[in-house]
Amino acid sequence: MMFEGLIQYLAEGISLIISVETIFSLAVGVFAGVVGGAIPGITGTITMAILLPFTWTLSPSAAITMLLGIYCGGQYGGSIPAVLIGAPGTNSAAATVMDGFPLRNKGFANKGLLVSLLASVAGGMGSAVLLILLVLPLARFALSFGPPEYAALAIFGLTIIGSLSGKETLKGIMSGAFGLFLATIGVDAFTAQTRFTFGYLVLLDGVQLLPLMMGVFAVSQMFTQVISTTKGKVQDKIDINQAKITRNTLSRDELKTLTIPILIGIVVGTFIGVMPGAGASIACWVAYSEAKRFSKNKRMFGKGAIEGVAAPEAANNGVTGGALVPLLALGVPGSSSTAILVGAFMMHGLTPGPLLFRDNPALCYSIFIGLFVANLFLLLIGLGAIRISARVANLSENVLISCIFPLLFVGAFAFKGQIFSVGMMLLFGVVGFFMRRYKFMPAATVLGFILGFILESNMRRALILSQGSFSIFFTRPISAALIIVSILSFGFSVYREYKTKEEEAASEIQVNN
Amino acid sequence: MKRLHEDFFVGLFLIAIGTVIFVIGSTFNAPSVDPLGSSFYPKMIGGLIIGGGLLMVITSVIVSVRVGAVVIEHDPINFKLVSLFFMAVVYVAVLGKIGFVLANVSFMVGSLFIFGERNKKRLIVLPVGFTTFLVILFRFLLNVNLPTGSLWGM
Repeated sequence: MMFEGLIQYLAEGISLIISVETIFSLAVGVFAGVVGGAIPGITGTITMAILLPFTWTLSPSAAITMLLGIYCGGQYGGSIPAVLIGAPGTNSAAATVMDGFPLRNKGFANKGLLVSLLASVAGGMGSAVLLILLVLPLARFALSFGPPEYAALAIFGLTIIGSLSGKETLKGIMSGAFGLFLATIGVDAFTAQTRFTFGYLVLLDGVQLLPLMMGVFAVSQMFTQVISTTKGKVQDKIDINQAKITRNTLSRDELKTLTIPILIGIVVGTFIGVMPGAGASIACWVAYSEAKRFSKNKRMFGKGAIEGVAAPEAANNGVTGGALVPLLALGVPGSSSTAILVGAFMMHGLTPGPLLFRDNPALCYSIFIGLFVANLFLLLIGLGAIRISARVANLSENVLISCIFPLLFVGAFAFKGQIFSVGMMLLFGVVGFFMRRYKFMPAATVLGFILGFILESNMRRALILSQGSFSIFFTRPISAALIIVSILSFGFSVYREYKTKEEEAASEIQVNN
Repeated sequence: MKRLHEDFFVGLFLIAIGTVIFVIGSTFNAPSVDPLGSSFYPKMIGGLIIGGGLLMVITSVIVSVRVGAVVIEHDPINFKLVSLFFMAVVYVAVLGKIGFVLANVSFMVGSLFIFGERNKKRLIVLPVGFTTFLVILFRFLLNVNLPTGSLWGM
């Protein structure tokens, strides 16, 4: 059904993209993403959270593609300070430092940035192709899901928390549980019982997703920045002259050399992106080491090899398409950035997942095309934005924080025209700050919140179908398989945490000896 | 064991939160067509948080006994952060009364000042300029009705 009328849907998707509103939003999104990604401590995800309210007044396709633009731009933007000052703007650009900064030290900053841009664009475009190939069959398969499968899928989504948590699986789970709790606030859809509203009428509709995301992602990060800037953790300034692109030249041989690492980056990035919780910060290192393994110039890696810039940059942008697969096909966000995209869908009354392909295919196809166009814009804007990004990144953090707060306040207010939303954002900002401080995971809270409603409503629907028997989750093959995968995924996270801590303890003992 | 690991107290806090969720969740008793009702899910989450908190308390005690005090250094919560937070609270409290423009300019002047900006020109130009930009963007381009201030009868 989804493949029928493919051309027609593609045409409708293109018509949604080719509008002044969408093109302008995309361009703004890519530019903002590059600038946000270039500022150490801001990241593409935080830029998405800050600018999410701006998408409120846009059409759904313009809103989603603008955020996609920020997502793609942010991944590339992180490489600008990575090359110019040896400090990645985002975690996903960490591997780029390995060869990008040595390139700059040899006087080839322009080459490093150009390779980064070309690889990012190729990575984004390649992953968009893989996205289309993967998402359509998966979404068609997911159309056969009933309540038990959706409940099991939500449980699987929650095991992502284990992967997001790094070394602190228990704290990650607790953060997710907090998100599940937040999702129960409001009127219960099954019984009309009010839960945890404490008499506040504004809470009858539940916690608002947008202030929650802006609070735990952006406000909490700003609070954390205030402490770190005061402590004197000052970032190196970017030399504006270095950021000036004078000669954007790459020889034909050099371009040829980039082909393999870029392909590696695309494949690694897309498939790691598909895996919930893994993300660009892992993909960049895997792609870097694989590119090194397949390279003829292994010895040049770490000393300014252009392949060492291309592979991680193609991979971190390759993640963008991969991360959209579980989101669009199953409705499960696998990362903080895709969780924000869910917020944008919800703000426009849409639910990502297989039903979106049935009910709103043109929008789905416009997202595919939007990803291509976003990368095209990245190619056009990328180099031009370097100098502006460098200037913004060089602004005093105090000035940035003083400007970002009002942007957040007015954004939260614009969402529903309620001052209450601003208060809610501030409250979640404080909660998020303490969560970060004590190594809890704000992203897990947002995932828990998004998946909480899916889990509860489908679990209860399934139990109505089975007349109260939990066996329904184990007798249906897809549901049973998802639950088994969830258990394995969670078990792997716990094992990984145990092994990491054991290795750390062993290395500590070695150091002490 | 000189001092308990900080996770001990974090765990206790979680137990308290989980207990509150569980107890309040137990009071949801509206009749329901589904076998679980309104209370099962919140109680399950409350129970999960209590369990996680207990686990954290136990493991932190074990760590404290085995390894000794584990001191985790946090950046101290300083005057600037506390001031910024209170200014934000005041902003939310007065936004409806004094309106967006005045609240925003005051907030920005205040925040720049506590961050150490003393240049009078910059203290005025940046807040006024940025607020003007936000008003144009939200009020005129995005059609958002920003609060104009009940104190001024608007």
